[in-house]
Amino acid sequence: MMEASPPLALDTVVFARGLRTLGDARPSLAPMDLDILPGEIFVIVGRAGSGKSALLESLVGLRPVAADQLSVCGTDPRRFAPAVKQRIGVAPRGASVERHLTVEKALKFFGAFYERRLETASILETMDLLSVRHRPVHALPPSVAQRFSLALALVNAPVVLFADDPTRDLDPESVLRVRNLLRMRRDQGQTSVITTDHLEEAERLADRIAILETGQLVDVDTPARLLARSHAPVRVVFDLPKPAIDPEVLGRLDGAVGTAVRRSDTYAVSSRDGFATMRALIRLLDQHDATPRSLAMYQPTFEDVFFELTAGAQSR
Amino acid sequence: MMRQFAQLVRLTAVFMRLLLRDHQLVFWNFGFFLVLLLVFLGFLSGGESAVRIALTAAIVTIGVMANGLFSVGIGLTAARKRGVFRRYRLMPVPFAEIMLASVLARTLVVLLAAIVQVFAAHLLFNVSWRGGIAGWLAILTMGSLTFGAIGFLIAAFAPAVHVANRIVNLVLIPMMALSGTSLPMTMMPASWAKVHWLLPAAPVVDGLTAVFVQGDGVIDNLWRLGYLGIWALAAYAIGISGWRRYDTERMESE
Repeated sequence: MMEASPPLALDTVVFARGLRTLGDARPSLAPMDLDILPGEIFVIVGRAGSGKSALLESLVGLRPVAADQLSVCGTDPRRFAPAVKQRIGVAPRGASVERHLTVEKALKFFGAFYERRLETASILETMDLLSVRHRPVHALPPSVAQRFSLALALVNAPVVLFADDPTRDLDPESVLRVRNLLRMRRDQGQTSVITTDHLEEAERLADRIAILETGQLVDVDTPARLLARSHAPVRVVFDLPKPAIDPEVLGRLDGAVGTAVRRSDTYAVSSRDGFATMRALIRLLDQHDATPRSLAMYQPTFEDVFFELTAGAQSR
Repeated sequence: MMRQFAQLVRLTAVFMRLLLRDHQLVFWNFGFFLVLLLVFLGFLSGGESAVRIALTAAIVTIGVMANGLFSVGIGLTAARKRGVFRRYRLMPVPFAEIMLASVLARTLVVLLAAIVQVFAAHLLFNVSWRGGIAGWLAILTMGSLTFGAIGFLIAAFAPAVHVANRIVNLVLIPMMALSGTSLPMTMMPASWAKVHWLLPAAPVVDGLTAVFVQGDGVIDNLWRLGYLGIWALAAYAIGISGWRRYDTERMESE
């Protein structure tokens, strides 16, 4: 099912073998092996309903799960393990706090459970919550509530942060803030495990990406390796007002695959060998004595890789 | 063990403080029943001491019943539906300890409100107790625990707040009518009067009346306290199994 993964360190923060759904819970997770290394940003990516949240919740003990072996920070999260809970921070979906707790009081209340905790003022500042510190949590708008949820996950300066879609509902400035926070944590050697369905976000942030489709772990690797493994075609795109060229002719160029696409003056040719197609195209344009306004070659994006890999999983 | 107990006490105190900040909860637990006492004892009792005592026992019992069922039953269901317990599950404290503290805090608020009502009736309307304070305090404590337990049981199985609300009303209204709390037993068929004590509200209202009028103490009420204890234990036992089921089966649907 999976291609060979890079060698993994023994001191993983998450180590799972045969992790799978317990009983008939939905969405179901097919048996999977997973290793998450210290100090990395590990992004679980997939469509809505692919099991991202279920996987994340399984790793923190919020959801019953079966596994041949499972450890988070060295302990099985299926058993109550205060030592692990002291070291991890979790921002799950759908978790709330008691009514009438204000933002600041909630942070202090939950912080009091931990041996090690950050200053409330610094968390408020980090998550840009100073201006709403005295507001009741239940009255926060979704974007602020999302930042508050992350702030709660940070109260104990966690070694591993688990966040379910942490940039959902956020404005662009807050998205940037969260990205910087995750990068800062990585620089400090702390691990972050997040889920997202934004492919661009996953590619930008992740040290490694786990692609999930209908509960199956399709692949895990660095964004660069995933791209390199892609069989998605290169696209040669050019802009030519005149003369019109038959897309079928373009589809017969060296290396080209399928029929080219023409939209207005813009042509796109898919190719298995971008340079061969480009050379053949230039020869063709010379024959027509045509000069394109622009000519470019695009490598497959992570989006292409994602759809290529998940299409395989869907057909299984 | 001592550390766990200290943590439980601390958590319970924190939860009580949070509950007492909830204006709605404070109104329904304290304000509403004080208003009932003022209206019934002040204007509708005709100034008769025996009527005032009977009304005090009835109003305090209804308070314990309603507050126990609503505060614990609806309160826990609403907290569960809002995802409050999801958050607590992530804390480095056993979840059972947090649940216990949460239920205890709600039960203590119910008890506190009942104590305030008895003292208000005593100070404002000279309702006295011939038996000792311990007598009615024991009845109110067991009554609060029992109705808190029934609320806990309802919250364990109610899938939504509106369902919990319906169940609470289904339990509360017949109990008020049939236990001798709001309607005197003389209005009931003789056969029902003989078995009305089976309803858990009856030992509370009868026990309070016995302490206020006949001067019964804790020992005299032991059978009532024991009977309430059986109700409380049974409701907690079934409730815990319900909450465990929720743990493993219903988590994903929340």
